[in-house]
Amino acid sequence: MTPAIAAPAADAGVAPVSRSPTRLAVRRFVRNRRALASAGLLALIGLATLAVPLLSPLDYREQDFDYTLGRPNGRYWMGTDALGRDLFVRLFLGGRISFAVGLLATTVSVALGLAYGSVSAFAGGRTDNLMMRLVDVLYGLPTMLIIIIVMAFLRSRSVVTVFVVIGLFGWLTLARIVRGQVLSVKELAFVEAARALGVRAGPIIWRHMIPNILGPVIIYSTLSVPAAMLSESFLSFLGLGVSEPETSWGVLISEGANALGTERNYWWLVAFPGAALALTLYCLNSIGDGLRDSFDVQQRQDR
Amino acid sequence: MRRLAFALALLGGCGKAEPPPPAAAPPEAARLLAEAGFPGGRGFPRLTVLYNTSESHRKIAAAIQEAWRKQLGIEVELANAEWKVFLDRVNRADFEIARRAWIGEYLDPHAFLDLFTKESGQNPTGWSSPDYERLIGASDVEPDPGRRLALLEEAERVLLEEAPMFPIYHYVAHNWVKPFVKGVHSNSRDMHPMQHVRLEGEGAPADGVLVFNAGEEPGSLDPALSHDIAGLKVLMHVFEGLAAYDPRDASPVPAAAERWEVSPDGKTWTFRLREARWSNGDPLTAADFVYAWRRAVDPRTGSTYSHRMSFIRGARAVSAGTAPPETLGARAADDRTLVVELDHPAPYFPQLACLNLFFPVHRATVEKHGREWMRPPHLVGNGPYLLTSWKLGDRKLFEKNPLYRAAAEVKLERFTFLSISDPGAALRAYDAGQVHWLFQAPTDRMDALVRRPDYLSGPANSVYFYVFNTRKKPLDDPRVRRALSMVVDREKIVKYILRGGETAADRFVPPTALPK
Repeated sequence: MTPAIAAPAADAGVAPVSRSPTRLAVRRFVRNRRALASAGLLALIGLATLAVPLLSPLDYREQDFDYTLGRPNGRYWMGTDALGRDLFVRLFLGGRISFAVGLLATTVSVALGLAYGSVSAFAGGRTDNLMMRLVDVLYGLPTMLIIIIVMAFLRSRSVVTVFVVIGLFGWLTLARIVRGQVLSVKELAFVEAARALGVRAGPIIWRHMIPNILGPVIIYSTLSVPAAMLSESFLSFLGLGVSEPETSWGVLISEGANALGTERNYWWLVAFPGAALALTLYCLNSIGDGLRDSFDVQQRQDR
Repeated sequence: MRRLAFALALLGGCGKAEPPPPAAAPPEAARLLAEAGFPGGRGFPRLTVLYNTSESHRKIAAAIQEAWRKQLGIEVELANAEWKVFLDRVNRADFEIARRAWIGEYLDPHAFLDLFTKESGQNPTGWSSPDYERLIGASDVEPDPGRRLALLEEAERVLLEEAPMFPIYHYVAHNWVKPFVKGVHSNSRDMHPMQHVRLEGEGAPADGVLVFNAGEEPGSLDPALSHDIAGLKVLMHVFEGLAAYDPRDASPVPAAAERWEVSPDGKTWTFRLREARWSNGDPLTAADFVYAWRRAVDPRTGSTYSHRMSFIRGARAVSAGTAPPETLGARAADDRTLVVELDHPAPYFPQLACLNLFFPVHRATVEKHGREWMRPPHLVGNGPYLLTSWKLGDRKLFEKNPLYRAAAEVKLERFTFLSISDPGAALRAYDAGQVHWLFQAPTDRMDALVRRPDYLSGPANSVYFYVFNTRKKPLDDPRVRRALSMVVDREKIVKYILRGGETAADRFVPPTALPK
């Protein structure tokens, strides 16, 4: 079925290789230094959030009242908070929650948005109209309020609920983006061809359309990861997210911001969690950027 | 992978000293817990500690959580809720362990200890003790001050021994006041009637509106129902009781009443009212007080605060529903004479008369508007100010009441109560000049903030404590409650978390409430 693509003339002399679109994308991604470095760094941060709390001799709950709001030193590498707890361990522990919320919520919302948007666009006509009006109605509702009501209604204090609920309400924009993209792709020749060959709607959407619209979807999802992390910190502040002694980056940062003052600065309380969040978001954005470049099937030239 | 883990282990390990050995629980606490069937915390259910959303409550709760985990091997969860939700859950006994505070309405141990009597609407613990009831009851009728105090101290000992609650600290009053706000005094109750405040000097706002950050929204603004300080701070400006707080020392001075006489046995009080009018022009009469008080004790009103009136003859029976509200021992001898019969002498009556529970209410307004009667524009008051606008969670605007009996003495024309509940945000607004008066600030910055020249400190007749819901197992066991109370290090909490000069409490009654 898949014919081997002939090597371009410029590569004459090199043995011809089979290049699937995915392999091409991976190659392009690997050549993008910034994206690759970001992916490496993100993996490192992710690994550290798993490893540091396990390996550190300090417990994230341990309160050292002889050293509250203490500066970073040899024992407490990132200083201590108001209860004398080691910020270093808490930072990585908080990273677990923030990473998990960001990734899980985004996965849920991408899956929903992708399915909903592409089905709506592909079906077209009245179904499309109906499905999109439903999105409009949901758009009109204040998302945070609904999340709060749902969280209060569920009465579940599990963090997983937070992930899922944030994700359940984050797919609306994505559904619109996907629908727009699918509408433009739908009329192209390769879809026509697939249809003419008798391919059914499901496989057309899955195999032919989605790979062609992945670019904007990936960009949007890398942007929705930080949004999910921020929603989590807001929910935690209201008492619906994580609670003591667990923590997350959003919680650490909001705590740290309160300790910033003109008289005395406990800068470490906000600087380290802030830097961790900023670094993670930077990595996510450049990865998204790199992924878009490499998955863009319109960008035929294999540089 | 293994190599990586090893490298990380090295990274995590170097430069760090050995962790300190786990603190040993006081042997007494460990023994009590073991006796109750939970040696070393084994088998103890996972309870939830409830507090109202605030940075300092959260830190204190986290310190308690850690002390229990570390010293007793007991894990608890923390849960927070917004003030009104929190109050509702506590009142419905929908909690296991909860944070509470109480501000004594009069400078006497009784103001604190009677919270835990059976008839108190502010005892969410479900605990009661015949010994305790007997001691408090005996102190009510004991004429000798020394013997009365001894009875109250004995009652407090029972309370601490049985531990349906445990005290954490005694407050101090914090105020940060811009220098152009004149006439603010630190006083034993932290009560600051705005009608005595002036805006003068450099930086005073051109529009003449004083902005005070009042923090949380009150639980209620009905004088019969409100039992929090946020409510009193609003209501004391909109209504005027028989007596009111003197701004210098917060002692009760004649207000709606010009004078009062007490019978030789201390059980009959006769208040002579001043000539005054409601804000709609109706005359204020003794019957308005009688109506308000009957309404407060009437069980249909549903006040959880009416036990404060139980020293008035007949109040207990009315609250219990066994007698009609008309049997309450308060009557209007004529339009301007109010006669009150008490069950026992209560020298603190004038201090109580400053409280919202004892304020008169305008009968026609209450009957016409029902639950909405406290909302502008329905509200009719007799106080120095009118509540002209109330945006929930945002601000309340007060304007001088032109019909107030002493309107000429009201210096401040207008003021605003803001509801910024985040102390950090409130402090930023204060430093930016958008707020002129604060009473809460972030605890992390407290040690620097209390040294500022605009800081005003004072004693506060109040206590911060935790309550146990003794209806729930294993909190029904006093040994468990005592063990949990025992391992909480109050000194550390005040020194390292609060940082504002509060005092660790090893007893419930604050020192301000004890005779000098």
